[in-house]
Amino acid sequence: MPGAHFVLTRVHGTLVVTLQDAADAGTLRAASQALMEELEKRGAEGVVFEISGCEVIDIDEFTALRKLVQTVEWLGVSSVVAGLRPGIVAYLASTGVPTGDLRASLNLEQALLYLDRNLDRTGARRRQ
Amino acid sequence: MNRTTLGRFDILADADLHIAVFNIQSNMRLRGSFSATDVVMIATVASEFGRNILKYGGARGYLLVSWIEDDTCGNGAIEIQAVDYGPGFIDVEAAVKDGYSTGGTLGLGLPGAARIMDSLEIKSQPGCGATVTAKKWARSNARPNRSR
Repeated sequence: MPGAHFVLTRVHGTLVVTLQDAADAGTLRAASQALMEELEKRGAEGVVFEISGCEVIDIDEFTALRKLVQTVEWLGVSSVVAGLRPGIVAYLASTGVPTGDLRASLNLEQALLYLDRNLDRTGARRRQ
Repeated sequence: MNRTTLGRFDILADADLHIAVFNIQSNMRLRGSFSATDVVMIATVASEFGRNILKYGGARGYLLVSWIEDDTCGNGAIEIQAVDYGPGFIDVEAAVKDGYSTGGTLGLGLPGAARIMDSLEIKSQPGCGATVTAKKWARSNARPNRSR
């Protein structure tokens, strides 16, 4: 898809959406469409948004990403945002942008580990 | 004060914004004077300013990035100036308060920039566009980012 810089891969039962260099509106729209189609076709136990390739994410882009994460959660699929860079976190914290109940992890490995620990094999969250 | 232009970026579409942010972030003067975290924050402030040009400035404007050096003490600062030819600000004072927005957004961009940068100045006349100028001084204790 022209202008869309993302890759959608499946790691066992988890879908990994890798945003390669930007979280711009066009990329998020295309990623959302591909993700929803895949969730409808084959489902998933969890979704990881891997964004370590994004060096800058402004408020609009973060808000759009958060909405996409929320949409996935509303479909009953747990999600984690992996690889937020320290500069982006510092920026978002300085602006006071609402993060909701977004789950974040340092990297993809930790995100997959988190989902593995918190999901049972039917896709439902384990009781805490 | 000595002023050196590091870049001037016309902002007419989303793609221009990405080019500007990429250039600012990879500027060697900036990377050699600020920590990696500060560079990202400064580049994101530029992104917010550019986005405001697209949203509120009629998508006609530019970002001017300059390096300023104080002759007396030798300190340097990055200055980001956003100039647009849109309708201007309705209320300049309100624009830097958290949650104020005329465009249905969160209204956090300019107040956030004011907190991140050392100074933020808005010049605007209704109907005559706007100029937003933000400056951040390099601190002597900032760890230069020369890793890339």
